[in-house]
Amino acid sequence: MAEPIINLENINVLFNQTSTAVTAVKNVTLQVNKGEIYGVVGYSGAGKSTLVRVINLLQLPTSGKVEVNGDVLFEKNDTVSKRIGAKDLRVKRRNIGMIFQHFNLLEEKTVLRNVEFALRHSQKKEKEITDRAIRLLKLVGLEDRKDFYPAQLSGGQQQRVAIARALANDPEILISDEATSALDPKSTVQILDLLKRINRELGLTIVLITHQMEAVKQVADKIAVMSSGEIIERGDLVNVFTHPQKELTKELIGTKGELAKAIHLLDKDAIENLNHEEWELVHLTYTGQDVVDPIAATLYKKFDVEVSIIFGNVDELRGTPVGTLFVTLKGDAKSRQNAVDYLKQVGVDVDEYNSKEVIA
Amino acid sequence: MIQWLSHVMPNVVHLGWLGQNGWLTSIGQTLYMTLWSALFGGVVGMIFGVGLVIFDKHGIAENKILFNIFDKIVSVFRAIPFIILLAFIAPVTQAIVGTQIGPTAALVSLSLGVFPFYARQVQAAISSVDQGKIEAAQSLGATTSDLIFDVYLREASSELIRVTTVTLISLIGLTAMAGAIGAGGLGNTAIAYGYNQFSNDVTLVATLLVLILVVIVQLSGDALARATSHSHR
Ligand SMILES: Nc1ncnc2c1ncn2[C@@H]1O[C@H](COP(=O)(O)OP(=O)(O)OP(=O)(O)O)[C@@H](O)[C@H]1O
Ligand SMILES: [Mg+2]
Repeated sequence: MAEPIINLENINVLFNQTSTAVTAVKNVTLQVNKGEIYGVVGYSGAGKSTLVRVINLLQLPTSGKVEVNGDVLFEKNDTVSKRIGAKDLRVKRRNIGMIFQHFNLLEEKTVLRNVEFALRHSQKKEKEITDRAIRLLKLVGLEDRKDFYPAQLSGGQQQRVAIARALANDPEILISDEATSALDPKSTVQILDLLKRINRELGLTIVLITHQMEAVKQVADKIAVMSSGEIIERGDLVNVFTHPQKELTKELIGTKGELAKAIHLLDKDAIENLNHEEWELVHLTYTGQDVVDPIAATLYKKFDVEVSIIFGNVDELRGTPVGTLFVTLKGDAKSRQNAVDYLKQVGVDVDEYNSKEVIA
Repeated sequence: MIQWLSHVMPNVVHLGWLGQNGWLTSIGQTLYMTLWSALFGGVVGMIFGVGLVIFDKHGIAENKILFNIFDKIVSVFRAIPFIILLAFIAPVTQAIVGTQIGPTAALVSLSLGVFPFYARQVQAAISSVDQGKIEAAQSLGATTSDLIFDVYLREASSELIRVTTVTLISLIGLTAMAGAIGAGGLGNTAIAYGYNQFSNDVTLVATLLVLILVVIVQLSGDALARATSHSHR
């Protein structure tokens, strides 16, 4: 049974501006299990940063309950109001590493001193602290840069130092707030690979905030979609990507764009020539094996349904290939229904758009 | 050389090197006043400057009452013109150092005159430290003292050196003003032996010496600030 390590209950965060109050987070409940990589996505201003900063109380919620690894750090509702003491909070925070979009390294300290800074209260001897810091720099592949200052490193290297620093106290949780947003594609891939590796090798639980869909696609196990302070959709990565429910989710993951493209590609004449009663556009999504290849033949033979492919592509979700295919099915209603049932039976997800929807 | 000097600047030479009104004596007094009041005023100003940042709203040790106390004290002392402060503070000076005249007596008013200025400079300097660095350090479980010394003061160090330079220079100006009311130093020489006795050569040399002092402070401050900064390639 999956064990929740982060448990947020009914979190609300209000910012009192001079004129108006902004509710940055609205009644959010979120559980993250040990060892998971949990992606939080949404447009700018959705409240992602505010929500994750609640986990280590960099942001105090207005109400709700924050529980990390079984300890209640904060709880406030109509009947209770409690909060962990400052000293205990500092100890707890060392168990929750955090990395940021702009790295936030101390610029007047060398790479080594930046990592050592994190270990200052670790009760270790100076020598042990240095040894540990160097080991961490090895982990991120930067031990040869230990005497450099952050300004002498590239963005990707700075982020790796920040990761080493965040991991210094052996945290069980790592929060990444747009950690790859300021990096070029190559460094982004390197950082994501590094995160995946430490997730696997150290069993670290990672909360990954991003507005880059590519990032969550590569590494997340689960995702939550945020909009206007609320989580509007959540679940297993592959599930959410293949069965997006909310319009915003479809927009974020590009389903909407793909549908528009498919309709665009169906040229006018083709549409005119089709008997409105006898065809439909379907969006097929399938994971794993390439099951689609023989489909056209099968559907024709078995159900007397003619299949023409409009376009398709294969995406990768956490290493699993996920294919997407837009096709038109031609045939009478009964046969088409049989064909669709068959597709579902063999594990293909089918979204049907009837001809009227397409033309409108 | 000396002969030529005593011809063009008779009064300058007449004052001599040492002795009560000698040039070295007054340079020494100016340095004495500047350095000691920089130390006292600097320590107090630094404490107030840091306090103004950490006790401020959203500061790392937010405290409305302490912030208001610090803020009011600094504002009030900043509002009093230095020359009035000199007169106003005389009885206090008497009580602390036992005399109202001379360089040591001037230290009290100089320190009081410079600390609010320095406090505001320090406040501005450390406020410029990126909030992200503070948050990152907090996420690592840093204590308030870690945040003050390793983040605020260390990260703002070259900016702090710059504002310290500015403060020292304005302090040299203040010592000259204190000199005008009998605290000794180059200001005193310029006024008492130059201006008041129509010895323009004395005023000129005293002014040049103050200028040289200012330039030395400025150049060493700049060099030090540059040497301390690692934030640019
Ligand atoms: N300290 C603050 N004071 C007032 N309002 C704030 C504060 N921090 C955030 N907000 C507001 O809360 C809302 C959510 O902000 P937040 O930074 O959490 O969004 P985000 O999803 O992380 O966006 P981005 O992708 O741009 O980082 C925004 O409307 C923002 O203006
Ligand atoms: Mg954000």
